[in-house]
Amino acid sequence: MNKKVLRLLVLLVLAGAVLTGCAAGVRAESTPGVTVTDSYVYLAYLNSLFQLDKASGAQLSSFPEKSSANLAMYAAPVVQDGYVYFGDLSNDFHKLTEGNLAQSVWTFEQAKGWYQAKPALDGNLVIVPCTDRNIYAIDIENGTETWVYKGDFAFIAEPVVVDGKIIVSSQDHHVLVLNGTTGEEIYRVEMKGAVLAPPLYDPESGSAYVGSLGREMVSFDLASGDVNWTYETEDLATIWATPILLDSQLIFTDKNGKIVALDPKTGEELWQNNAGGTVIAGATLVGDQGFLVAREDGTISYYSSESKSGDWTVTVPGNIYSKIIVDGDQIFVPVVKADALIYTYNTAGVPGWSFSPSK
Amino acid sequence: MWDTIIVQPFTNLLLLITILVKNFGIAIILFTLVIKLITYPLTAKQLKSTMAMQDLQNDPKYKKMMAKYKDNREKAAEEQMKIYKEKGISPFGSCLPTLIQFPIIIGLYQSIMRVMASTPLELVKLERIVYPFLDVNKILPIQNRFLWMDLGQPERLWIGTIGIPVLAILVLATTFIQSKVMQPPTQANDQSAAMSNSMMMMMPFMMGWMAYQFSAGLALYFLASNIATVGQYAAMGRVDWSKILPWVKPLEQPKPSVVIDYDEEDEQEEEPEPVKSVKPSARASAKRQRPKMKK
Repeated sequence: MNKKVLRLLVLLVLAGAVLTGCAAGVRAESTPGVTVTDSYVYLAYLNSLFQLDKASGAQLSSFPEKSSANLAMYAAPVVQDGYVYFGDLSNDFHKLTEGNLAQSVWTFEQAKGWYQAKPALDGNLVIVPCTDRNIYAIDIENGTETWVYKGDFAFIAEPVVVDGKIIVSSQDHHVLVLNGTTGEEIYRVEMKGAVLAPPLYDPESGSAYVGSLGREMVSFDLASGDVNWTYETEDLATIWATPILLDSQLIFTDKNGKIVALDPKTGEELWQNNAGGTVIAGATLVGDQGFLVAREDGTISYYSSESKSGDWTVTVPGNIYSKIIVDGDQIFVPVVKADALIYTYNTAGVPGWSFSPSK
Repeated sequence: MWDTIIVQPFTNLLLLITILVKNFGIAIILFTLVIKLITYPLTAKQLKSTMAMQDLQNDPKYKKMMAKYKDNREKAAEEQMKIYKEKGISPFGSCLPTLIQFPIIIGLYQSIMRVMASTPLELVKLERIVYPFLDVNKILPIQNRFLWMDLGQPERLWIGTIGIPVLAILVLATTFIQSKVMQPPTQANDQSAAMSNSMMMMMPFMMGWMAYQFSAGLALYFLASNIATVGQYAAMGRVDWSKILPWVKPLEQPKPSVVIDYDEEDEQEEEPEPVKSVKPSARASAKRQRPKMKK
């Protein structure tokens, strides 16, 4: 084989390796999926699901034991009774033992798409949205399919389970309400754009609140499916996150950083503020005193229910796209394009631990 | 800069076609054809240059000259350049159009990847590059379903529990057909023939493997691109179907489009002053009377 042919073959192999490397490993770009329990923080990102000590951030275990470039995971797990349930981008959904993440109880392999959303538990079932346009209800004991709902679009939002009903945000411009026992669709609420975040359900009023990329916030009655009100204004931008309820006010953010408070009963606007930058992650409740708004550029501001203006601000060195989590007096901030995957603060804004996987 | 000039316009064009035809799969195929049409002049120029170079390299006199100076690369190159200059052949004539097309192909690839956003983060990034005249809220996200495929996932046709990678097989087959029918005529012992054969063996498997691994949307693009390329070459009369269909009459081999006046005798006479070697001699002038193939 002469030099030119050899050179050509090497080039072809290199080009192939580079191109397939881009696609064969991690095939989607996303944000860390985080779940916080009483003792642990679970963080799914790229090749591993990490179990961290909640107090110190120390890594306790991970799944799989040896990370693989062909495996990727972004969906936050759900944890119950010592077991961890989560899906990956290899189309597998796992039940793992909390004490030892490497120990798999069962794996559900029937899906033809990725798991990107946090699943939800409903009694003996785990409800799992999948990008193959299906929602699977899997028996948590044996990992078998109990029912499957076949939709029209990839499901990427966490389902909300309420009294035997499952509320699912859909990218096909609808919110679906399913029967939790059979998976049959009870009704659907039409929206003006894709719905990417789960709705907020208020047990007191029996209403659900949900925003969409169609620049609207909608309230509907869960029992009947009737729309109570729709809030939309000329200058409202797309809504990417779940709203919150604080002091009988429904508070949400739009992509342009607008913070809007509505009367949850009527949809009437109460006040407005602006976070001063792009907001994708939305607002997060801090107890019953206030809320946090995380901007894409890493700026997190605390707004007390009294002042309604930024009482304190911290900046994480990265971009925030997924909802931050508040548990007790700890704030957990998943980030991308940073040295760490998660930063923590206390509710006064004082930094705590951060975690980046060991290389 | 790259995004603004290449990826953003391509992405918006792809979205616009998707809105018009209301099907992302068909939009990818049309988008590929539109880009192929736009780059057709470059492809034609590239092919013309390649043909001229091939003709030149197949010319026995040219080969004789190369053989003569095989131990003197500098001299061979000097003589080569003179011939190129005399015959009006640009040695970069086939490289330049390829180089210009390269960013277009990369941009095409990236725009398809962008439009197939499958996570909220990817959707945020896509929303940012959509031009205001396209109503982003109504069109995003794009419905990835096309025939049996989910264009955002690697394609498999599921028969029971067996997933058949139909697109990957088609990409492999069309790449092979493309390489085979467009393979230039070469001599068996030719170095370029060896390279060409190696490429013909390697490329289909590499493309097939990528189609197997990549999302179906990209595999569909590979397939459409292969078919469009064969179509382009067929339109220029440069496809030899006899290489895959034995019952088809072989493509008539083009006679050299350039006539080399290089002559050993001339060379010997003019050895002390090689610069003059390419000057047409009386004998060479006579040779020029031979019928010439249209370039």
